[in-house]
Amino acid sequence: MSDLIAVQGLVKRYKDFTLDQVDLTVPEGEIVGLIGENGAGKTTTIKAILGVIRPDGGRIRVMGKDPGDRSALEKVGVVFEDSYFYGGLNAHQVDRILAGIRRDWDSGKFRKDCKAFGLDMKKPIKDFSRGMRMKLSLSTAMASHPRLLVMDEATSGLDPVVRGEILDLFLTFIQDEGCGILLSSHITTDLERVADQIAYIHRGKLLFQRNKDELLEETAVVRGSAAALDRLPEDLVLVRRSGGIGGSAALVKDGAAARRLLPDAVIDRTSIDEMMQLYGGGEKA
Amino acid sequence: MRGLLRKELSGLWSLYRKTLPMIAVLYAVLNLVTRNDFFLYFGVWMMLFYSLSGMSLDESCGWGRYARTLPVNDWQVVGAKFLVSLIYSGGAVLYGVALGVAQRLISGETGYTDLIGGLLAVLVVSMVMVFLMYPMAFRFGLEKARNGFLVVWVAIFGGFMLFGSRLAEWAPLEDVVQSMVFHPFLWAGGALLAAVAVMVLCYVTSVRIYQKKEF
Repeated sequence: MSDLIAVQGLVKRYKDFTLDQVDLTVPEGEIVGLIGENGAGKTTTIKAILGVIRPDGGRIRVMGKDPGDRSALEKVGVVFEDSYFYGGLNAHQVDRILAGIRRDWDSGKFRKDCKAFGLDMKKPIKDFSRGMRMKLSLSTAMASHPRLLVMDEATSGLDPVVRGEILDLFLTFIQDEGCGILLSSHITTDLERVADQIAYIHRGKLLFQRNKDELLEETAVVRGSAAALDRLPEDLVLVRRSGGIGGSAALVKDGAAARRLLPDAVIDRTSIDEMMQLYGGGEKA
Repeated sequence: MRGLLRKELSGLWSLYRKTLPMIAVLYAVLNLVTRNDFFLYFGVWMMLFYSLSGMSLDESCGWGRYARTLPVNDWQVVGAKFLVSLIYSGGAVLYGVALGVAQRLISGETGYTDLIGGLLAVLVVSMVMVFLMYPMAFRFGLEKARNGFLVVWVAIFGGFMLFGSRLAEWAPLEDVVQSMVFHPFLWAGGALLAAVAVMVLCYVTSVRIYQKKEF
């Protein structure tokens, strides 16, 4: 299985923010969920992968090619947070425009997807709801039969029904083993539902990229007094939060090991949300 | 390229589809009633400036970021903008010629040379103005480019107002004016070539700026 996206040591410096040595891969047949707080560097990473910004360091390969080489993007479908076509245009015009740009553009598929999503081809984009605009963006991303979908906050601001439809679409897309998805999202429940791997960016650094099921099964949250948490060996603790409303807690790599060490402590399964909260407000990472 | 051009034309048409037919009718009526070619000349200038609006449409919807993810190169993205300006100006010149000739046929007047010469002169000046604005718009955004350009033109016209009388007495300039009167088409052709040269230079500069841009 080869990587559709391979990022090594990506660095991008801004005045007030640095994306620092990010390594990320999107293997064929997998959905990689990119998580992180606001301003953590998710969008910057995606922009660098797509060649929208120039990295200051590192190496990026999209299907084996440098993203600066636009032919690398022939088989990539992209969805950003909002529509990128002028609101006065309609889906019919978008179809004609992209048919003149993308060699593999499939008007039939685009129209079929728009119809399935209930989009009016003649209605100006500005009159679409946010959910409809997102469906249009997805239809445009899928109509050139991409092997790779890259989506930045594609499901944010959408109601659960629309999100569910879109996530189902991802799962259908990924059934083809040669395809892959990189999906950044704040809505961690969406990622828990569809992602195969989770990559977590925190303050410009990639903390980990791991198989989602292993991550959620192996890691755990240990709650207890600060003194009890002090008994946990350092190499077991990923991050720790002292005091606060919820008391002291530690995110540990291995829940079973923590249970053996602290049989009386409260040890819970973790969620991606809780992991982010602990990293966001924790003391050690 | 075909798709990019279609995108530019569709965007501008959706923006001006009510205004343009109205203006076309209004200017036709004014031209026929007043027998004044000013409105035809003004149409050329206006259409070229309308074509610039594609830049603000792009800025409003984040097209630049999306365009980077498409299998098109920067020369094509910028080239589509310049091409649209040429199409708009070409259309306006043809419209001006058709209307000017019709007005002369109806009124029995002549002065075809004035019409063509006038349209060419306005075309050249407008082309230079608009094509110079493109690199600035790619660099600073359309709004700032427009404001900056306005300041430059106010300074130029201010200079003419202040020093115009002295300039008129300048002997070499009198010779130039005389030459223009005797060889209008030679001058018009030369000016058109110069405008094309400015266009090419501005195109290359715009692409260079666009290539460095991050969205």
